[in-house]
Amino acid sequence: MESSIFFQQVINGLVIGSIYAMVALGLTLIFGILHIGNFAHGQLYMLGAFATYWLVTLWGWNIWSSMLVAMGSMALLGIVLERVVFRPVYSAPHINGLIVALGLFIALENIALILWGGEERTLPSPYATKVITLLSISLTLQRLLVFIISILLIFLLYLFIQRTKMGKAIRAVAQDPEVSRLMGIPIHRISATVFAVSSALAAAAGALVGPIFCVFPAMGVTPILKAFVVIVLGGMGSIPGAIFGGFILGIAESLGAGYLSSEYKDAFAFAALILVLMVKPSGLFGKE
Amino acid sequence: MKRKDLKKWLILGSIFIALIALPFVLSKTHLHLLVIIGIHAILALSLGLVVGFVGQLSLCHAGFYGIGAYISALLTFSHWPFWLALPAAGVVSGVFGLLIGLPSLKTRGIYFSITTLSFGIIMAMVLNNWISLTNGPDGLSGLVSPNPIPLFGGILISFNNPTSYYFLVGVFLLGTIFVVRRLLRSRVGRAFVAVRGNEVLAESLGVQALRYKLTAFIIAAFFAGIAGSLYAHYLRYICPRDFGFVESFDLLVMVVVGGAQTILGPIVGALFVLALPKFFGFEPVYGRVAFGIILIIVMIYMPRGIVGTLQKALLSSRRSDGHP
Amino acid sequence: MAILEVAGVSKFFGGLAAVSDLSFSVPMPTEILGLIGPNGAGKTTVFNLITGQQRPSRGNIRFQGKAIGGEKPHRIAKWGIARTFQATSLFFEETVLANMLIARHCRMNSGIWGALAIPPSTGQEERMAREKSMEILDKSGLGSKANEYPHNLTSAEQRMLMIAMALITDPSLLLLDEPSAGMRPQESLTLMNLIRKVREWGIAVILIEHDMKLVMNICDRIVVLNFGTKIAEGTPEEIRAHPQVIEAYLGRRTRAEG
Repeated sequence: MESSIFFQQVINGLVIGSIYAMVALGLTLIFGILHIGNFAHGQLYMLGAFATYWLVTLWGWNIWSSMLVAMGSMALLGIVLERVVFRPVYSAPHINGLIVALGLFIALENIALILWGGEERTLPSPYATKVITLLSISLTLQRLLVFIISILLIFLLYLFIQRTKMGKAIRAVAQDPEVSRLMGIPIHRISATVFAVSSALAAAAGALVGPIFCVFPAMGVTPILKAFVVIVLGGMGSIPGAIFGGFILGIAESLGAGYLSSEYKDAFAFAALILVLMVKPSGLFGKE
Repeated sequence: MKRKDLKKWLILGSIFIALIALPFVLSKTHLHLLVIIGIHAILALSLGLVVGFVGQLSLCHAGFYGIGAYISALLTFSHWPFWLALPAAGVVSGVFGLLIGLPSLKTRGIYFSITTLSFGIIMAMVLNNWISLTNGPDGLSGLVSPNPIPLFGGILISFNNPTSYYFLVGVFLLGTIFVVRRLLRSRVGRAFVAVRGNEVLAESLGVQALRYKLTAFIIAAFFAGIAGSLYAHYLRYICPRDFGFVESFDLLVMVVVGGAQTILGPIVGALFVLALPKFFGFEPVYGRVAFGIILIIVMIYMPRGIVGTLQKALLSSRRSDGHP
Repeated sequence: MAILEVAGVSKFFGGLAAVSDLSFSVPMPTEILGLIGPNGAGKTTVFNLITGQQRPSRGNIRFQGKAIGGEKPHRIAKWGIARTFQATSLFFEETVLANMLIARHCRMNSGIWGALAIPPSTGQEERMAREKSMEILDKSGLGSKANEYPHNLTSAEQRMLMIAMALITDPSLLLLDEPSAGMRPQESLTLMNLIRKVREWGIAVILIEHDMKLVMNICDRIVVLNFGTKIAEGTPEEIRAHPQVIEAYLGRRTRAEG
């Protein structure tokens, strides 16, 4: 039945899309504040997955507490990286920030390779094998949980940005850093917070995805590249852009892989990006 | 004035003689490394045109390298002589430079980087998946060496050994340096500088920014294609993995660590990136961690790269001396 | 045929009209037209519309009979309109002479072939460009600073350099945006003499200025803008006595004080 294949792909797309959305959200938050395209963000996703993996396999923790601890530790790492690596290049031209992020990206991936080797490990999860079937669409419980938890975290982030004092400060700095500084908003604390929150989100994404696709040092590469596509298409610094863009990309990829070609599946995102930028060089929702 | 010139020529002369003598004193492995460094110096220098003078981070340069290599390989399989395939590879890469540069250069900053990155990924993917043309991940083997060149007196220079290839690459590197230097001192070079320095001002003075950015990009792609051909017929085996994002990133490291706005910088960068690990007998992984960290440190403390920072220090001391 | 004709030009940003139904012309190549008005009146926007940094929402702009509204800045520069900017815009990493050579770009021809092969025509072109640069630098009082870097110039010298760079593009129309900003009276005098010389060379000038002495002294006619519309046009004497102009300037001051 054709329509069920269609819906199956859409559902798969939503699951993957929620991961893209979470990674893209962190990336767009950082860009909105620092105007740096932080390539290294993908490695926080990878390290979050590894942290969860080790907690589960070495210490036998359950997957939820492992994920929470991974999120916390990646938040801390994010704060450290912001202070040590990114803060020195704030005042330099943005190209320097990009290069610094690239350096961190390569360093972190290879440190992981040294520590843990390149083999692909599966993050054991009690939900990975249970399959749910609804209206002839089947889904592992893990995938369903990925979707639900991602939506939950995204919603929590949205509340944080819109309702809390810190969230408003973040929005102020993103809109107008000069005025914010004059008004006495502590920019450094804002940057640290943004890095912490973004890294926690990335870590969660990694932990959720670990049981489905494997955990290995290079796992952050494709998601971060796709996340960049998402935020360029959705508008750099735009939160709704990152969220909707992530889901749309997930669905488009899934449908493309199903109906067109699965070999070039990864190319769709990049081809789409190029096409959009040719028409609108500042992204779909970009200003400038 | 004369004495200073004489000193400069003596230093250059001795370096030149040392470089010519090198292949006869070094071991084969070291010579091989020098050949590879020379090819990457051409690549880095060409990328330096884009990064240093257009002022944008291009992340698809390895793609032009790869196109040059594959075009050259395929042409020689169709019985083209190397000496025709080489310029053809450069031209085809240049054409791709035009095709990719035109849409990409309408964007800027991170958008430009992501666009070029996307093109680079697509290029690598095509090389990997178009098996009927490129033999996919297995690569192309059995490539020919460049055809021997006859010299006077019936002597034939063959290129299937590192020594003659060293000189071949050396000649092309010198040629690239010559072209870049001439370009930068010309009206075209001034346009590059203007567009990088203040694009709005440049446009208001009649300099069409897009045209000159594109020119730099195409020239860079051309030289990358030449380098690709040189590489292909030296190793006589190429595979898509040599031309992906990792390679583009390495080239960027060479340019940035060496010094993007200089001519010597990318060359020093190539030497640094490729030779340093060998001195420490690093496993590739440790080397890569080192590069990531070095990149960060250089960006923070020496944003103009090794050569760039040295040059700036020299310039300020000269300025305070009252020299023009 | 007038040098410049601005007819019914408007520029909207969102709902706001930065320039509203503006019409004026520069009839002769020896005219110096002043463009004055309180801050935010839209004067720089008018310049941007003429030189292509912005595109008119409505209306026509004709330069020597040719429609130029909405064209790109580099083309307009080539056709013969040069401008300076309100903020000091120079190539700070290049010497004064190098700045001038860059500015000469659109009147030179050598391309890649000229760069690589250096045929005699290129060499000659470069020599002539250097001579012309020095000539204009001398006329602007900057001859001795040719090998200096801009940060070693005084602020007044930097602003004169901007004008010199505009002049070397061989324009028929020169737009000066607050050239005397930050200049002392002696320096403004040098500026005024330069602008008079420019007129002698047959180049028409439109001058945005806040220095009223300079404006009244040197301009043949003045156009006054307020909130994007023209409120007066005439000779300096007419403008000086124009009630709406006085209101526009005084009114602002009283409101600020009150």
